[in-house]
Amino acid sequence: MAAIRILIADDNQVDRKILGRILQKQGNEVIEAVNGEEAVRLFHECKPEIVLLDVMMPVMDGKQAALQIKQVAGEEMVPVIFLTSLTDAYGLADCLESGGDDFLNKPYNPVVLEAKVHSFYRMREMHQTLQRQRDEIAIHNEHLMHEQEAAKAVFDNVAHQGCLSADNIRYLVSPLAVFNGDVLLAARQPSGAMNLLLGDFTGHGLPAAIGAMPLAEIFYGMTAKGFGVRDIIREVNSKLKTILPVGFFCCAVMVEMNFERKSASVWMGGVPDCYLFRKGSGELEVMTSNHLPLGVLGDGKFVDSLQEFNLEIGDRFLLWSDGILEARNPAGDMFGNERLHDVITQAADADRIFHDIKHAVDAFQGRAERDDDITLAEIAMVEPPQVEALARSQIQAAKSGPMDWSFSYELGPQSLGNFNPLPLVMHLLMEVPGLKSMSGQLYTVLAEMFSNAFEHGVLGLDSKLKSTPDGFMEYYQQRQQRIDALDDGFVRIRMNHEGNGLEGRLTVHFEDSGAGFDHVAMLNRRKAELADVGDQQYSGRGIPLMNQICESVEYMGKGNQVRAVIHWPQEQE
Amino acid sequence: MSVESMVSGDGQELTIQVSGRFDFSAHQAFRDAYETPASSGVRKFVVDLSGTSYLDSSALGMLLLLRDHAGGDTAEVSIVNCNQDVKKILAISNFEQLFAIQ
Amino acid sequence: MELNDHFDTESLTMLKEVMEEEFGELIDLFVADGEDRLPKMRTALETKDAANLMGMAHSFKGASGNVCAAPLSALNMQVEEGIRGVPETSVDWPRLADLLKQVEDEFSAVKQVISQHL
Repeated sequence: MAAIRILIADDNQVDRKILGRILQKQGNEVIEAVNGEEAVRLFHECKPEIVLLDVMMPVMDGKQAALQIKQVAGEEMVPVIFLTSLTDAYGLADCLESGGDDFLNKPYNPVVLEAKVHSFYRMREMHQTLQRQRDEIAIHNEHLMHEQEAAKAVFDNVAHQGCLSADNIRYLVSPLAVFNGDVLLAARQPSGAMNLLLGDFTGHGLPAAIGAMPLAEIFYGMTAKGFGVRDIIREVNSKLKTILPVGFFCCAVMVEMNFERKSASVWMGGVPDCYLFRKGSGELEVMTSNHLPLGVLGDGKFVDSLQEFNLEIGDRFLLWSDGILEARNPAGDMFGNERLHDVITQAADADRIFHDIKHAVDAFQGRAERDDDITLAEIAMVEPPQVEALARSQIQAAKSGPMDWSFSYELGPQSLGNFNPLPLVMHLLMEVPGLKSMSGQLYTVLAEMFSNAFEHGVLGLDSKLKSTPDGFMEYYQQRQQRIDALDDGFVRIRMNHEGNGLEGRLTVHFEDSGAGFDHVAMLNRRKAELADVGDQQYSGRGIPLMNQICESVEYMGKGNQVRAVIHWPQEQE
Repeated sequence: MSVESMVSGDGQELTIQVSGRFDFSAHQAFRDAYETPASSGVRKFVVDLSGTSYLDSSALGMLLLLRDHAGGDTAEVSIVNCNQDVKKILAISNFEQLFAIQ
Repeated sequence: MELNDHFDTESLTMLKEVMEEEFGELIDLFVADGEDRLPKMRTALETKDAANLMGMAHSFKGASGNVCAAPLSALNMQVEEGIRGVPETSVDWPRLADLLKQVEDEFSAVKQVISQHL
C-alpha cells in the first residue's frame, strides 16, 4: 500500500512523538501539529488523507479543529479519529457530533492503530470511487438532458406552426423541458377544414422525438395541400412503421372538422376512450379506438376506416392521451375514467367542460409529484371561417404563370375508392398567380363538385340521407360498402383556363358515370323559389358558397355533368 | 417483477410468465426469455399474464418485439390469463388484431 | 527500586521496539516534560486554578500512559477526575493537594527507576 498522508495533532510532545513514530514505521507519511489551529492550517497546506486529533489542546481544541477540517474537506471524505483514553468517556458524543469518525485509545496499540488507519483509508478510497462514478453519471445525465432539451426545441419548432390558437380549440400540454412523447398538432386545409392530431409516442425524450418530427412534417405538409385525415394518417403510419424500431409506436387520435358540411371524420388507434359532447342534447358519445396504434402495421395491413360524425354548432370533441387517466393524487390513486366522465357530465355548460377537466385533474393531483404527460384537447364545431378576402396585390405580372391551358383527368373505379385527386389538381391551379389567393374557395368548389360526382353520381348515394343523424351513419356505411363493391364507373375532370396577367377565367367541368338527375325540373323549381337561395334539398350545404364564388354553375346532359366558371380577380367583400 | 419461461415437453411451445408490473424494467428479462437457445425449435409462444397486475406501453412494445421474433405476421403468439385492467389496456391498443388474447 | 513497580514492563518492551534508537530521546523528553509541568501544576493548585490543573493532569495522564508509567498515569487521572464535572465551589482542594503530592513522589520514583534501568 502506498504511503498514507496522516496529520496528527497533540499538544503533548511525548504522545505526538510516539504516535508519529508508530505511524512512520508502518509506512505512512506523518505531518505533526501542536494544536487545533495548526492542524487546520496544515490541513489546508498538506491535504492529508486521514487526521488524528487529540481532544484537549490549547489554542483550539480537537472538536473545533474537526469541525473546521470537515468543512474544508466538503464532499471529500477525510476520516477524523480522536485520540483519547478509555476513561475519557465524557464528551464522546460531542466528538462524534463535531464530525469525528472514530476514537483511538491511549496508550496506543500499534496493531489497533494500523488496522484503523487502513480500514479508514479503504473507506475513503471507496467513497472517492463512488463520488467519481456519481460525478460521471451526473455529467452523463446532464448531457442526456441537454440532448433531450435540444430534441424538444427542434420538435417545438416543427410542431408549433399550426393553428392550435384557433378560437374553436382549447388544449393543455405538459410544460416539461424534456419531450414527453405527447404530440398535439392542428392545421387548416386550404378549404378551411381543420385537422387535429393528438399522439402519444411510447417512451420519452429522444426516441419519442425521433418519430414526432416526421409526424409533424407530414401532418402540416399534407394538410396544407388539402389532404384529410384518411390520407394523412395512412402516410404517417407508413412513415413511422419504416423509421421506428419494432416495439415503438404512436397511439393517436386524429380529427378532421369540416365546417361547411358540419361534419367530422375521426381516426383512433390505441388511445383511451374519448368523447363527443353534443351541446344541444347534452349527450356524451363515447368514441373508442378501433385501430392499432400508428407504426405497428405495414401499409398493406393498415386500416384507415374512419368514424364519421354529423355535428351542430357547439358540439365538441374531448381528446386525450392516457396521461390524464393515469394522473395520480398524493395517495397514488389514478384519476381514471370514472372521475373524468363525472366531471364532464356535471359541467354547468358545454363551454365550461374543458376548464372543469383541467381544474379537476389539477385539484386531484394536489401536491403529488407530477411526472405524467397530460395532454388534453377540445375542438368544437363552429361556423365556417370567413372566406379570405382576395388580395389584389398578390396578382403578379402577366407572364409569371400559365395563362392558357387545359387538361383532362379521368379516374377509374380502382382509383376512386382510395385516391383523392384534389391535392394534385390544386397544385396545378396554384401555378396561376391570380388563383393563388383564392386557394381556399377553389378547394371548396372542387371538393363539392368531386364529392357530388363521386358519391351521388358514381356511387348513387342519396344526399337526403345525411339530413338525419341516423341517416348520416347509414350514409357513410353505404358509402364504404359501395366503394368496396365498386368495379365500374368514372369521374372525369376537365379544366380550362384563359386570361392575361390581370384577369382570367377558369372553367371546371365534372362528368360522372352516374345516372344523373332531372336538373331542368330542379332549376325550374328553384326559379320559383328564387328568394330561397340556400335551398337545402337542391344544393347540399356547399352550394351557396359555390354560387358566391362562381360566375356560373350549370348542370348539363342528363344531370351527370356540371360546369362551374370562376372569374378572377373577384371583387373584395 | 419477475419473468419465467418454460418450454413444453415436445419443445414446440414456449410459455413466458410475467409477474407483477410488466413495464420497462422487465425489458431484458422478457427478451432473454424468448431468445434462449432452448426456444430454437419453438413454434408457438404463450404469454401468461395471470400474475401481471399492470402493463404499460413499453410492455406492449415488448409484445410486438416477441411477435416480430416469432415471425411477424405469421407468428403464433397468444396472450392468456389477463386480469380486467390488463385486458382493457390490450383492448384500447386493439392488440387482439395481432395476438390471440384469451 | 524495581522497574515493574512503576512501569508496565510488557508494554515498555513493545514501545522500545517501536521507538528503536529514538527510545532514549523519548524518555528524556518525557522526563523534561514532567519536570516542566509539575511546578506549574503546583502553582495551579496553590492559586486554585482548577481548569489549568485539570488540563495539565489530563495531558500528563496521556503522556505517562504512553510511556507505560501506569501508576503515574492513574494518579493523574484521579487529579483530572477530581475536578472534571465538579462545581468550582465543591472542589476538594485538600484531597487534590494530597494527590498532587503523590504524583510528585511517583514522578521522582519513575525518574529514579529510569536512571537506574533505562
